[in-house]
Amino acid sequence: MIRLVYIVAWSFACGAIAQSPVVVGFERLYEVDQAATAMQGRVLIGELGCASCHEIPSVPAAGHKQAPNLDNAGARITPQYLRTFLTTPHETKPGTTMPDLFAGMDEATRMDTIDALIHFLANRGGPIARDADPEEDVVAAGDDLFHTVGCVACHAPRHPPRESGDAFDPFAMDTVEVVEPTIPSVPLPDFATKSNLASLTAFLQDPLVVRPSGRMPNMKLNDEEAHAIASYLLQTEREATSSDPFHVDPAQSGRGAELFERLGCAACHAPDESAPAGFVARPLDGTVANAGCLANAPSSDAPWYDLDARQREAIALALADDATTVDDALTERLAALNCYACHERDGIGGIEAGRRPYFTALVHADLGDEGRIPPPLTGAGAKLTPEGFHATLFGEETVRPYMATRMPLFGDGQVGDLPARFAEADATEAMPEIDVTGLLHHHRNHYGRQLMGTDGLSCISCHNLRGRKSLGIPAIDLETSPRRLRPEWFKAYLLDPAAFRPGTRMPAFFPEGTSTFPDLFKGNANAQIEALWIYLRELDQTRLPEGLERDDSFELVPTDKPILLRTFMKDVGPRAIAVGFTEGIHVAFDALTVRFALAWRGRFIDAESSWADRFSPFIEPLSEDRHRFVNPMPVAALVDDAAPWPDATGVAAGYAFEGYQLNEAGAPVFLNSFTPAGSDPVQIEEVVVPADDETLIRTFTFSGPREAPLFILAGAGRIAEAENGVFQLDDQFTVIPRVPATAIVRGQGAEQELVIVVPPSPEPTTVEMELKW
Amino acid sequence: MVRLLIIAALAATALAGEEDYYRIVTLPTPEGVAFEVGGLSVLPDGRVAAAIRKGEVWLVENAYDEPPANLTFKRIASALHEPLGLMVDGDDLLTAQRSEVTRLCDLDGDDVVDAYLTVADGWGITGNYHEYAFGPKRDGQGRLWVMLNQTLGKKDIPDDAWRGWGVTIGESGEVIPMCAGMRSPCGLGTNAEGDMFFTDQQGNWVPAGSLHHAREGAFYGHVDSLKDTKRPESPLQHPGTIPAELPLPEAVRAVPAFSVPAVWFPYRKMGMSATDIACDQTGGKFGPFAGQLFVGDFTMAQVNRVFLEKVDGAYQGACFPFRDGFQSAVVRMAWGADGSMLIGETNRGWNSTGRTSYGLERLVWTGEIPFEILSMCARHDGFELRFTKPVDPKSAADLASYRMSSYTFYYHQDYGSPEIDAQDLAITAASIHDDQRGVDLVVTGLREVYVHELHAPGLRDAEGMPLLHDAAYYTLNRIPSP
Repeated sequence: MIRLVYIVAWSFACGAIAQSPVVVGFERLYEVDQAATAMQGRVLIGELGCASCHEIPSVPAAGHKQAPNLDNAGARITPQYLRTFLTTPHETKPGTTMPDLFAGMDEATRMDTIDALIHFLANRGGPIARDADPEEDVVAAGDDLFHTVGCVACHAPRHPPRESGDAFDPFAMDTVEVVEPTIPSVPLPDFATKSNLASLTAFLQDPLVVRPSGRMPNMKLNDEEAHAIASYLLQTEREATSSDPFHVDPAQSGRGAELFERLGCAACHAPDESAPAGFVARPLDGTVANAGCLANAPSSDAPWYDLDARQREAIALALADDATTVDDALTERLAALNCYACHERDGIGGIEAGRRPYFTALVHADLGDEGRIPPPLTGAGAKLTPEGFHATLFGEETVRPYMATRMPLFGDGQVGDLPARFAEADATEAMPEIDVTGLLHHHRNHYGRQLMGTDGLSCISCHNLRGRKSLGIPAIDLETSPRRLRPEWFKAYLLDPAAFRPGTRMPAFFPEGTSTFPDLFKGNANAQIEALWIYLRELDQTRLPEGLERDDSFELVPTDKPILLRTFMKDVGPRAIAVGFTEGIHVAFDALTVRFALAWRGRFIDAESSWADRFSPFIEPLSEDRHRFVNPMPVAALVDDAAPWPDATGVAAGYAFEGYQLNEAGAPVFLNSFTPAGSDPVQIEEVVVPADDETLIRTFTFSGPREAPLFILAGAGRIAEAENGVFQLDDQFTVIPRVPATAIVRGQGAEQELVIVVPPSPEPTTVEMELKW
Repeated sequence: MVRLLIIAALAATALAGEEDYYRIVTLPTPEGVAFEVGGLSVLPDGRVAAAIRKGEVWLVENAYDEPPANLTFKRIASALHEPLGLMVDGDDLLTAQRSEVTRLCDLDGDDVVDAYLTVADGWGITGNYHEYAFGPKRDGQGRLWVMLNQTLGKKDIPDDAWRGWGVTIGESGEVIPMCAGMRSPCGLGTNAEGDMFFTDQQGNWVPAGSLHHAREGAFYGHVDSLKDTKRPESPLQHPGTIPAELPLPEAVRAVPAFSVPAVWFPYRKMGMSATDIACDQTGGKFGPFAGQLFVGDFTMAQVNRVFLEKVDGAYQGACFPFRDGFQSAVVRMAWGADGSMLIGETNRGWNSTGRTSYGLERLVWTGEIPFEILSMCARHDGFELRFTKPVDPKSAADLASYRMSSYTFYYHQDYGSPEIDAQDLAITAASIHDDQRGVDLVVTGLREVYVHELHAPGLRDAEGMPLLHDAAYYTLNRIPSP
């Protein structure tokens, strides 16, 4: 419900509805220049597909955006959506780059033309059938994915961010002002009208099949993820307009095919099949300003793009200007593919403020913004090797698995030459020299290994290595470095990380060119960095560094006296106190609810995650042979012995944990206070110790004057009383009350309770029982 | 070329380094024990008590021997949950575990703790790794303070009351919330007047490392803690919607109760993660900085120095580089019986410079006084500097000896902040004090809620030596009236 309210409130709030085509790359550049430029115009010309119809002397045709492939359009798009969209493209999908082709026709011709085209398109693989409605939990998963994997880098978010950086607390997020995106979003159609679940899922898994120019890139979604996002996108409040079956008229379809070619649809949508003479528009040069497509009102002789004044001005500038540089060409490509949505390069782009909160880390890793924000591309050509660049662009390697967003795949045609273009553009970056021969020092591997490990600079304190978790935060795995990085950049970065990544968490290990680790090569930075590089390069033939290779055992084995461990523990809580006994039977007390929670036989516990890890996850006993102490609280003040046992625990039940004292054997005697409603506090000392490997002795000592009886719940469940006061319980301990022996069994069936009455007394009273496995 | 190198080498030997004034003595710790110091305290008899992160407390004897050959270590307590503070309280020790303040009592006098008594446990803990508790330490009014880290990330159970708050512990162990908005207040401590301070570390809502004066009703910036203002015990009203991003000077005006730090530690320039606070009350045994604060740094394994003054009733002041080169992250500092500074180290979870992951060191004053900026006070038209030694009048009066710039930060939910709105400031006059140990700088363009960064590379003392550290960073929250 909250989600729905958000969607409604948000979608009205989120930016002005654009009529003119949204070309995000143009907007990005315009944002920087604050005035129209020829470069922006070239981006527009490419993204609007002008070269599909026009010869444009001043702008290279290569790399321009191709319109969606309509081969299988009928299987993807409903006839009713086709009708609405073709009739009023700018109203149906505000911001679309699809022009209104029929704006200049009289109404009858227009309807007739559109009709024929619909039959033609529906006939290609269709018509599409309406399929199952999305499932609610899948929709919720799709919502999360849509807002975290990177969709909202280009498309409009549909609700305010749920979490941001440290601020994972929904209450806190309500406190923070929400900044809305200001750069226009790439529009999405009303999918519920346009598509169905199967077709949208298939599209999301490989969008380049339909949109070969990669402007909608492949987000590397698996089946489940694509299905979830499709479900979310289909879940709108609007009902599909009609699910009436549509029958294709072959004659109409044939006429549509001819129109498709003649009106120029094919020029954009099927350029390879389009007959050369099918449709040719006039050449575009500096003489056509304010005419044809560039006119400021619809005309009968040209498609109507509804360009705004900035866009028309930029295009006019591009047509009059044919000077481009290597840098310009790269900038235009990054704008066209909207790399700038996520990456900053040379002061252009980067995630805008209103979208940044949607970029999150998958594991809360304390990597700072480097854990959630894609890296800048400034100097990337001097940083990455061609192979490393290629691996990232083609999804062969995920180097930042902690980020929720993903590096999308744009397709070979769009990015295949980018490594070379970046290298060319960044060739002038000044980089230090580095000797990568490894010949300088014998046993060079050994030195790099030492530096990498805890007996050196301890890179593995933060960096994963060869798939092994670091000792701390999961910073980037260095195994890939020699393949990804140019050695000169590696050196320059180590010498001054902040120069490349302002605000990085990476410490400066070589301030002013001297190592902070003086014990090797006299702290010589050159020699140390070279040794690190050589070690990483030879990593697959060598040992892991000190710290990752250790084989210390953290298993706690009680040998002469009890061992205690306070930790986060599963089925106990964040205030667990585990007690291991030499008898091989162990217990855990929960200081939060102030009661024993768990007992187990066998091995005690492994302290590694508590002692050597930083994340300190909840740990479990090293044995499956467990019993739970099922009682809500073991001691209560009841009105009489028929009163129900209270459900409350801990502070709410009147308990306070006051610590423990070790007895002579080294076992903890827990010191709890219990204040029955309207009474004075009673001190309860509780101790559980083994008598042998299958028996625990549980002792309560009550002190402080007590004017009313107290009750101990010694067991609950189905109770069979055997001889001599031995009470057997289903799946639990067998309880044998010892001192005093007044036990009551109350309740029926599986709801029975074994209750021991503690009589009022001015003196301390001790109650003891055996718990048999 | 060779000749040049020789000359350079000769010059280098002539110039003094930090080690000539303060030497680091590394204390060997027990073999096979990860001696990751989270708490450090010195008993009245001079023995050193150290709490380590795996949950033990060790007693160290003969810690002041040089060379440190006769140290003995005795484990006196165990099974604590990541204790990150340790203080002596009568015959007992107090420590903050993740979930409680615990009194450690040796009941039978064998120097081994027999009773672990819960003093206070009234804050939430969800089971998140970042839920550290720091302290306790007592202020001049006798109040026991604990600083509670903000939860970061997943919560296993929902009980997160007072995370990101500073609290005091009442007579009967009740937790009294005092102030909110901490992110990772890794160190706390009093100044010579007994006022409580704490540090915080850069991250979301915290643009850079900081030193704050802890006081009731203040909000220090991290918004997650604000949810607890709805609890009746809260001394703080919810400040309303927090702007997503504002320059600090505007945030000070826009957010009620928002409190900027007394001192910023600009990122990298003055460390990367501020930690413990130690006030020099050694009476001169540690050198010329009596009454000043020393603040540790985790990532850069260093100790910085802080001078504070009060302007219009609020603390502000300057920080100066002091000593780097420790073997690991400086997390705890305590004063030894001989006036040396004990340093407890651990870098588990993050990294630090240095060559080990943990350990214990001492920082000992050699008796030589370094030429340093002793203090830096704000004036209505500039700053007054005092030095540890008489200055060379010529260089001190030369405006070219100094340069100054100022900048501020964004207050926002992004991680940390760049320095923004930076400006170079003109120093228009430098007048030397009569005793030759100070200089008044007249500076144009002072701005409130900006860090004023001073460098004095040209300044020389009477013997012609440059400053050991020529930088000072003054957090000018208020410009004093004339």
